Amino acid sequence: MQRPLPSKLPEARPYWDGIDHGELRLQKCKRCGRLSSVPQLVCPQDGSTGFEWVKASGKGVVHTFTVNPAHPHLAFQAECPYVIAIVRLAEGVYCYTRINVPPDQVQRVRIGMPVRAVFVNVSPDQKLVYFEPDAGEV
Amino acid sequence: MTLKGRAAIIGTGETRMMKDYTGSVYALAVEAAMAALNDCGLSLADIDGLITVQSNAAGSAFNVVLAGYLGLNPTYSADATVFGASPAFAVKQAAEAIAAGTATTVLVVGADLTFKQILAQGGRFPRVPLMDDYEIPYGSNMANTNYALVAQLHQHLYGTTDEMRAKICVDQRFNASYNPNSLFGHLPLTVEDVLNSRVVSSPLRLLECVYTCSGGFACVVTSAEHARTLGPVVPVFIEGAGFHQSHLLTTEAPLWDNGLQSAVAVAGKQAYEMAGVGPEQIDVLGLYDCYPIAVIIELEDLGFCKKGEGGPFVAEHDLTFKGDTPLNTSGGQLSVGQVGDVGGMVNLLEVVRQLQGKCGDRQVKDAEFGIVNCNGGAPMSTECTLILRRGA
Repeated sequence: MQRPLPSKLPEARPYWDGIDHGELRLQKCKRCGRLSSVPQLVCPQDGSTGFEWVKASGKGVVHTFTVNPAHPHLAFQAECPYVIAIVRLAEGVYCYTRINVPPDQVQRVRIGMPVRAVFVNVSPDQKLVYFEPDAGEV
Repeated sequence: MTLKGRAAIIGTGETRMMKDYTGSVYALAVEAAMAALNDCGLSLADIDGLITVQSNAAGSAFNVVLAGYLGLNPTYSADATVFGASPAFAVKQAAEAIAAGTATTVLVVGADLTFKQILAQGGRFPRVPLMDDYEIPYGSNMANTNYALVAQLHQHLYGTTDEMRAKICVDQRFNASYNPNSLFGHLPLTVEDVLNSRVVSSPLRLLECVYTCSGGFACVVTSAEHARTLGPVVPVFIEGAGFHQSHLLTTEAPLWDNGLQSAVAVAGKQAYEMAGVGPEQIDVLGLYDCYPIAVIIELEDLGFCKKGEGGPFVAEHDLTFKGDTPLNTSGGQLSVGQVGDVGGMVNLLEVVRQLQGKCGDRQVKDAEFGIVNCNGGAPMSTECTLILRRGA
């Protein structure tokens, strides 16, 4: 059974193209420089609509997380338990994501754990950005 | 010109809370509306404003459809759609319409069905744009996941324990044991029961999550001048009201950066300033209780304790109707059941009834001021706070 996939809104095209190529792109306001991990139509800081896209380093830390033991959707249920997290990127913005550890290692995840972006196929044609423990993490 | 004291809630009504209702949401709305009118001795002929509360089953233009069912011809008509903040927001809108002179007496009505019933009747799961692209695909369990993320961080920052959160469930269950219209009031609950229930999304357990049900709620809001002419009715004046939306998507929530202070702090400040009162004057509380962690953050952001101290606060205070901090004295959503985005109305109506002296066995003595907060969004993005005062 296929997991629910993103619809990929038109304004987010550069973001999803980045994901396809193993690149986490952040949207940057041309006027004030504010970064966003989620493609916006309007900059929340100064209301402008001119954006460019920058490549994120892919580095971050776990800001908070939760271990999900079950899910009503059968495709997600098959993957349980898994970890959903808010990761704070080195660039200072947050990502809503999955921590890519096997089900028997979900208890390893800690707030403050260094992580780095990985790109995982959730269908033959679609990747998402997950995060895995960074090198050096025991 | 300030809204303070311009309008009063004069009547309340509700249906039974039901797990397996298979009828129409409009029947529930009409039943609750008629009960509220009956409660204050008014009729549909007295109503010139209608505000519905966001309903998954009724969908958009609920206000227009319900006016049709009720035979109303309102001069003020609105559907309050700010997620779970909607019930308090609808009352605030009613007061604003009355203060502007657009209406004199407004019916506020909320009703909803369980998702199971909505789907069985051919409806659809509500979708929130953006969440479909940036949260759902990761396997989010929506509110369960998003409030778990908050609770995990609150534990990390402040040492808030599972036991502290469970105490809220236990005290509210005691309150519910005096409320025959609650789904779980007849089931005693201990902290151990909560801790032994299965994990839904760590650290949240099953018995600290709400159970959804079908039901309807309504209240009647009128001008202060008119309220004073209504003989035996005890008016409950709207002294303060505030609203704030802080974000939509979970990653954009300011609370991740600021020690978990939510939009409640902003809405609450507006309400307190309008009313000219502070938390120390509040006698009875109705705080949105989708999960106990929301209650803890509301207590902090409404100034009942310092930021981060909500856990010890609930552990050290008696939240039952007999106690020093009477909270959700009919049992709250956690023990009564949650009626979709209308759920917070259970606590709003209970605070009104406490201030009217109509709570019988679970009456809080000498209740003069009440506070109500209705919360919506994931997590805690839309907030509406009301400060209410018992009329003479």
